[in-house]
Amino acid sequence: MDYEENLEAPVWDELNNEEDSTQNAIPNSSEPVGQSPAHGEGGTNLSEASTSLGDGTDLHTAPKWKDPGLSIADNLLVEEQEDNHDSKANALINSLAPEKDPIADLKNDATQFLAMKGSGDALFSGNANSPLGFDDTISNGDTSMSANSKSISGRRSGKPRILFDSTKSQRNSRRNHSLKTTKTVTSNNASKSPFIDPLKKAEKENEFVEEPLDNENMNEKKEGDEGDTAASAKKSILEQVDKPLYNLPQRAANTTSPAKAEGNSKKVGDTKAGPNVPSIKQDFNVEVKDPVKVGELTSIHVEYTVISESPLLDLQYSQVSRRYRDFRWLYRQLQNNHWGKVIPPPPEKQSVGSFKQDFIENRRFQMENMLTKISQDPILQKDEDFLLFLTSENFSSDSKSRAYATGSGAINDSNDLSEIRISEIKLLGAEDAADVLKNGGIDADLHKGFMSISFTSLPKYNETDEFFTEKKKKMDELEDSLKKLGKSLEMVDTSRNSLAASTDEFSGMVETLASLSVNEPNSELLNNFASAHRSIKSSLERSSLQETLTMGVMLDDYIRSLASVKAIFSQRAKLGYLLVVIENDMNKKHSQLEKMGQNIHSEKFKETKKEFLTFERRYNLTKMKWQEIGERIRDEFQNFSIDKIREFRNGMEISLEAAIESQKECIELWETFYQTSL
Amino acid sequence: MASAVPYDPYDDLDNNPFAEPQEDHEPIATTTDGSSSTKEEQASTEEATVSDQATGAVNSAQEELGGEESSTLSKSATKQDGDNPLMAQPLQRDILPERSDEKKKYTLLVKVSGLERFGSTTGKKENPTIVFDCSTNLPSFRKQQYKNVKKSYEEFHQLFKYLNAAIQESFVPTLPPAYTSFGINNEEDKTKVSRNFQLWFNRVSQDPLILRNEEVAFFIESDFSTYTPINKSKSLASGLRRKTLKQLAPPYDETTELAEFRPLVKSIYVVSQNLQEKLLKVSKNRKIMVQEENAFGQDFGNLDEHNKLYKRYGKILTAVGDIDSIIATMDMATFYDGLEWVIRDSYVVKEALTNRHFIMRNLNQAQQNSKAKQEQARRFRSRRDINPMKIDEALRQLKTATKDEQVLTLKLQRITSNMLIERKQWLAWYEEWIRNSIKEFTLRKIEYERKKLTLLERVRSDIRKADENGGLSRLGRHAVSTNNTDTSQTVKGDSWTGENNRKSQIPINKIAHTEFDDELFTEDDGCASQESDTTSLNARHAASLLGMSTK
Repeated sequence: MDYEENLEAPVWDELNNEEDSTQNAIPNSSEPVGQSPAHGEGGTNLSEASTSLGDGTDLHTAPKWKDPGLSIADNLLVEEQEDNHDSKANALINSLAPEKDPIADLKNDATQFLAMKGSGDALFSGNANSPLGFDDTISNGDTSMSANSKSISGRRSGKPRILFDSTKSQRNSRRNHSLKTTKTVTSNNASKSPFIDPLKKAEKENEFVEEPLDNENMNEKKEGDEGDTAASAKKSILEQVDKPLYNLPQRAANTTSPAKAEGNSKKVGDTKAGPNVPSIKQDFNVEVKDPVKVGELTSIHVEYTVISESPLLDLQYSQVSRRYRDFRWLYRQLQNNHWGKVIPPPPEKQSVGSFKQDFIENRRFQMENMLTKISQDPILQKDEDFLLFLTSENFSSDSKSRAYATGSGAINDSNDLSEIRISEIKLLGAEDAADVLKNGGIDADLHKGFMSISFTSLPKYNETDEFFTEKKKKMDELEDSLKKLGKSLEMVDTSRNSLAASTDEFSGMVETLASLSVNEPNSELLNNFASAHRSIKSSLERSSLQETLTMGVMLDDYIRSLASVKAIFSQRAKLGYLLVVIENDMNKKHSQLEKMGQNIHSEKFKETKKEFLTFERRYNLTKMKWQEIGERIRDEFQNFSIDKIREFRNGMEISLEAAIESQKECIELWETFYQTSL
Repeated sequence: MASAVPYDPYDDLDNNPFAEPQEDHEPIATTTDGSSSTKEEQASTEEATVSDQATGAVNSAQEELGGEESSTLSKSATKQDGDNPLMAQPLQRDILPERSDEKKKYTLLVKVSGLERFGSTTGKKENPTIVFDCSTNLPSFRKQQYKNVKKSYEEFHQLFKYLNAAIQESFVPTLPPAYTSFGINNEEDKTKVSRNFQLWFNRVSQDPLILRNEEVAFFIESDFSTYTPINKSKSLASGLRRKTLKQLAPPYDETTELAEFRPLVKSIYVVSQNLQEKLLKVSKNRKIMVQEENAFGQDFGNLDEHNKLYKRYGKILTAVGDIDSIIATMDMATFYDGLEWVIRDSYVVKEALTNRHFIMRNLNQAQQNSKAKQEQARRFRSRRDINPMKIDEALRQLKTATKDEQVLTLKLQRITSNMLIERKQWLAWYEEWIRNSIKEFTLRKIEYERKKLTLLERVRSDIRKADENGGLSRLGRHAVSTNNTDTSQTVKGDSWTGENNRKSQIPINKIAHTEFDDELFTEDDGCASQESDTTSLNARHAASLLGMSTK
């Protein structure tokens, strides 16, 4: 096996992809079981394998099928996966989307990896911790490569294709990656491009001709937008040109460092470099200001000027005007682009009194807060839709086409920030999604035949992982108590304001009493008394404002963020539900297939087989997404909790200090009054 | 309204429909009087017109005097009236013999020693028993020392009612409220009510006219709960008649101090009532805020069951809310109750001044009456052939009329001169009382606001500890130490002001560290839970709520 063959593999995959509408992606990954020259027969091989496997274990078909796909035909890993789902998923996600200081990993990797590969587990964990391990060791040269192969061969009881397997596994992992991001979106492109412009369409066609190049381009393009690499070669090149040069040195370093950079490994390196880049935070300044009322009667709304400054922007600086709706679009879009990520939420919708001055100001503040948070997030700040939001001159149509292309449903979003929509396009890839959508969605059968199907057969998703159920419950509780807290804060605020108002009236009356001028000292005393009360009143008002601005805003933010967190939980739940639905369908097809097991060559069998494979692909995709999102949620949730608790405590301290200060002021006022008048 | 009033030929002049329906001011009445007087001229007697003008302001009276033929009579009348204040000064010894002994021959010393509340719930509240010792050298008393005299509020009220009606010369001090806004059955209430009664006795014993009233002796010497006024007093006018008479324009008053005093007192009365209302509103709003603050604190505590910090912060917030509730009660107990006495007193003063107006009006009538009789006598004299019986009758009538007039004149003089003295006293009392109320109000306020501050500062270090790098430390506020005893209020002064040596620092410190303070702080220092703390507040809280509900 030399690298040339490996290099060819993706080409074949892609071609195959094109023919079979990418449904073979996962089954193909089990190729190593067979021989790489036997690519052409892959389909039948697999089908045979599937039938035989199906014969053996009828009930556990799905898991069995999944395992070879995911574990890259590595028995050890299969075991591992079965034993330790979580760690496997963790490793997978880490290797695919490195988030924890990948550069450091890059540096230490070679040595670490060599040190760790003594045992299979160590290798695995090494892989998990240092996603670039493979690339590095491979690209670092012969020695590490051979060492690698040796260790693997030792473990694998002398299989001849170790080297191939290891690279294969990289490729696989990369493909897994692209399954998540690249590939799906590539196919996204297919459905999307017709809606964008003819140029892109042409480009897209181009894309399929220049398969390997495209692949590379796609990988590169990922730097800019992880979730959506839906662009043609030309566009990505353009983008590369347009994009700041910051990632060039990065990649250069990556690609030049390997002594013997093979085409494949280089490509892999690039892929890996892709996700690397987003984790570097760029400077980003966003401002939201100058709310202006525009439009008449029915179309009346407030527009805000969004000014942004960053090296990530084409011109470093951008100024556009956006309305509230657009911020919600951004929220939904980001939510769709980054499953399992907590998106900084926009302010809540409010239909009445939305033109009051302080409401607008409050909303402006919250929206600025949202944009600032997005721009501070190393991943979100590079999101294409975010940049589109900041720069687009013709936003209303751009936003619509983007929302349509990604199936995010961002245009008609629900009021509830925690409600989500799983984009079929993102989940299954454009072509398959188009199929699915034509049939009315993944769970269409259930809705269609609702009356005919008995109720018991309705698939129901049960969250298996305690973590999620527990956290979900906790979050609901927290949200409840926060809402309560927010409400009572509001009440405190209102009552404090009415106290201020009545204090004002009181001091007015004291002044009236003073104006009777019964005698000189009395009038003076009463006047001073009245003015002391007036000061108290303004102090009350100030502290109430302060409280709203610190505690109130913080609570509000917290509550909305919780909604955003709930959204990622529902994403998982929804995916889980879809998973169950698809599994159901798949199993049905499988048993159908089995029944027809005798006449393998019949037309009907082929048809069913094809359908089955489609379902299987869907199942695997969904399953992976589902696991992936679970892992991501864990991570995000942890960070979120820590961040929020910190923020909350800060808020507490600030509002306490404010209370202390206003208390001092109050005492001082009375003391002064006492000194001067009594 | 006129139907209820017995026919009085001179009354309807004042009763004219154009007159301003207010009892205060002469200046306003002048214009209407001027126009009405011309109309009335034809219909009524000459004297009536004159008297009408006399009731008008000085200016209009003077103007019309020039035009009138029989101005001599009116002149004499006004002269007589106008001489009153001049005469009052030298003649004070004669008019007010009670006021003449400068050495204060007779004294009444009362020391209120206690307050008892028993009986039914309303009785407890509305009808407390005041216990006092008494020492006097008044001849009306049978002995000089009285120990542990117990009198119920009801009896006090009887006495006051009698005195107020019987002594028209004085502004009889009203009784202080029977209970305070502290609620009943607590120490503050007890001391406050006792102190108020002490003040009342002080005021009463300063007034020689009241002291010399034998009813005071009867009151003190009677057994507990048996006193009813022995003498009968009748007020000048009461009920509907009084109301109607009050609608009339006040008679011309040449004593400007007293003429202006009544409207002033009335304004004080009205404004104080409004002020009380506003204060009540403030207090109510504060109580609502307290509820919300407590709810907020509780919600904070419930935020996370396992988080002690939230719990503690929530508890502190609740405690701060409780202090706010105390402040609300204090506001009521100090200023509201203070205003209450002002209102009651100003009402009595106002009515006393109204009585004076009635007497002035009666005097006017008496003067006209005697003039009419004089005229009649003169007419009889010019005629020769007259029945001697008629002459006798006329003379007798003239005599009574003159005597009436003299009595009333004297009475008015007495009232006027005494009121002039009492007016000053009352204004002084008013000023002093308001000042005291405000002072108490402010001191209480400062005390509890300081406590609030201390509470807030107590939790500060806990929050800081929870997150060393959070919050204000980001603003470079490392200076806030983590020491739990760190407060900004010390004996040396307040950390936030430059002035350390304030004159009143000592009393303030005394206030800032009351026994209540200690109790509150030791308890919440002792253990993390402030439950005992809140229960200690509860008695007060409940009391304050009780106080609230009756308002």
